Amino acid sequence: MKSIRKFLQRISPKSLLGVRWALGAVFCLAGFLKISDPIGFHADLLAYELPMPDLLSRLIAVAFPCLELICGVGLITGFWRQSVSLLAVAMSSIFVLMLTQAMIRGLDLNCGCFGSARGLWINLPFIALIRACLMLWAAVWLQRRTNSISSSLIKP
Amino acid sequence: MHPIFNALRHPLRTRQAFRLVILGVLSLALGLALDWFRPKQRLVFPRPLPVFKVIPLAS
Repeated sequence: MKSIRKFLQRISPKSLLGVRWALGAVFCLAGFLKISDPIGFHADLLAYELPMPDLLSRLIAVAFPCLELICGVGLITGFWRQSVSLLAVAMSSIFVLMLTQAMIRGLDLNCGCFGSARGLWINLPFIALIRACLMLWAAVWLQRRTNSISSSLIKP
Repeated sequence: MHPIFNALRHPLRTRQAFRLVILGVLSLALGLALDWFRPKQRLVFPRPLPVFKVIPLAS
């Protein structure tokens, strides 16, 4: 266990940048594909059958892809690192919660993560849930690393 | 005071919360602007009414 922890500590400074860029690229791609087809994303959002007003679902369909894109750009550039990594954790948690409740309720849907391309294996709910869990794990790790680096810089 | 409020009163947490609000407002504004400038794919703003061409009757 100690050796694993040591190994992770050793590789973490190098992999921090890699994980940040990879997560940022995924967020950018997802945001861009959703922005390019807002009506399809809105239809995918409605397929989750969440009890919310129509205007709210429309506002989410309009604003959420932009938030994803901003989050992705922030992760890649390192702008407002702490806040953006916190945002990545929040968004990944939302993905995991949404997909989990959809799978529990047995909804047959397209996850809508990368646009509304139906029939692609990458958009199957089970695959999407695994991907969302991986993204959440990466985002939490990134947030913890970023916080620890920032606090070590603040302390004398 | 409740620990959550104490945590929020920390300057770093306050700054993070403020930045998150800025990012949210920015994304909402960007989304609404995109919605406005793409009339065929509007979700929030009303779509423009279709323009019908007037075809003169053959005399």
